[in-house]
Amino acid sequence: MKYGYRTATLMAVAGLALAPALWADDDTRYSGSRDEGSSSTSSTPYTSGATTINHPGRLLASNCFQCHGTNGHGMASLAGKSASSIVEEMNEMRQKPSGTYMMYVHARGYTPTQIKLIADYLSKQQP
Amino acid sequence: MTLIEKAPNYISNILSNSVLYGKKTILQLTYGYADLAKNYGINVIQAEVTNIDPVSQQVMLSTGARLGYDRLVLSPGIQFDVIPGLETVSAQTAIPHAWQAGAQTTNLRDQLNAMPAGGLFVLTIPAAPYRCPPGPYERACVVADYLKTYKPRSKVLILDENAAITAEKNNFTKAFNSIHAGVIEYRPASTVLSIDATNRILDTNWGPIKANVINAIPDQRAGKIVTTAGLNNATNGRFAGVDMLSYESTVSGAKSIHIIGDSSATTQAKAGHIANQEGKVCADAIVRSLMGQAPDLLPVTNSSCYTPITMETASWLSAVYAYDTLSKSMKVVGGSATESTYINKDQYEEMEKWFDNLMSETFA
Repeated sequence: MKYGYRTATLMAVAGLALAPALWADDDTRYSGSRDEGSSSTSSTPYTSGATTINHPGRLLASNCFQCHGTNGHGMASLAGKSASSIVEEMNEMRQKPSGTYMMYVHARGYTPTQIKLIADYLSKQQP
Repeated sequence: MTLIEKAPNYISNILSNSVLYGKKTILQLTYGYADLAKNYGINVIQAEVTNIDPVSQQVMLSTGARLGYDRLVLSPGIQFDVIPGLETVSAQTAIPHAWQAGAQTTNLRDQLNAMPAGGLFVLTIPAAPYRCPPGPYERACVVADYLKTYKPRSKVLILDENAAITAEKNNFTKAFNSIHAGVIEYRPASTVLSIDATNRILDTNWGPIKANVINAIPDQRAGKIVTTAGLNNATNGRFAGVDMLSYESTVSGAKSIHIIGDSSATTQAKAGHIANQEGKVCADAIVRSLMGQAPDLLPVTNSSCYTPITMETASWLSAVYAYDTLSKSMKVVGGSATESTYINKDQYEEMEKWFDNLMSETFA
């Protein structure tokens, strides 16, 4: 067992909602296969499944999920979109008047490096 | 992963004002926990946590059971102080807060329905911090719009304990002074001393005020379990101090106990959208910790909401927060939250989509 946390007991006491996406990484959720590389078909170190847990853009990109769905599967779906197109769109939106569209505020909220990490993470999700 | 929740369902506070003007029902705002169990393998227990033993790392349940934990995350929302005069159940029924969606919301809706034309609706707003900063002003706006249509010549009086509008100031100023001019009267720096529930009279710093319907939102504090467990070490004992990298309690001896959402004392808004993100930062820190790694040292969160200004139009408010290493707190990127330039129907439609996505993400 590679990841010790699978044996730990976690408990959440909710009154407000807890985000459910925390433990999920697309198709390997409960497959019992979280070993690194088991579902990887790409040469990058983080493609899908367990490996995306270690992606430095994962937590940053989770800011998108309230509107764009868990791992980008929702309104104006972002999962599997090319990283360069996400970066380009974010850069364009940074130039627009911020009060005219909510995304223009979000586009300004991240550094160029952070936007690249977010885009890379989203591009590696199964569309 | 075990989820302990005292209620069988979650009733969304977000969009609950739309129940007041008949656009949504409580049922449409109700979400269950079954999909979390089914899709994510979470063990859901319906019970209340009555206490925590941080030494043996166990929680005590209302069912009498004790459960051990390695990590404990608390998200119990808020509880309300009692406004003088509203000590009894009947007084609290006569003067609802409707700040916890459900029976309180339908109670207020029914009182609005029964209100005579030309009547007075009084809304009282507590001093910040309280749940959903723009929420009370939004409520005043949609109630005003409802009254214009269904109870002509009625007025809305806002008694705000704060010195000024606490969120989305431009849009609410526009709403009070032009869209709802002549219907809404806004009085900042108001103090409610007590309320006579039987006669519907408020004793205030402006003198006695008699109303047809009173919607009094009380002062708020962290959910009960936070206080019971002694985790309420911030905001004069009202909320829980947490480390912003992990949401772990700052109370010594409370290791491995994390508090997210409205119960925690942070620089972030007390609201559902950002509580979702706090949950992710907290969970990511826990996962990394259990893997022997440090938490993300520069977390980013965001707060976003749409605000109905009339029964058909909405504005919005949005902010991205980044961790500030000097103050060890979350700070809004760019200095302050951005509110929408416009108030329109398109944004009301966007609001519905935002809400559906937020709920899908949260409840699977």
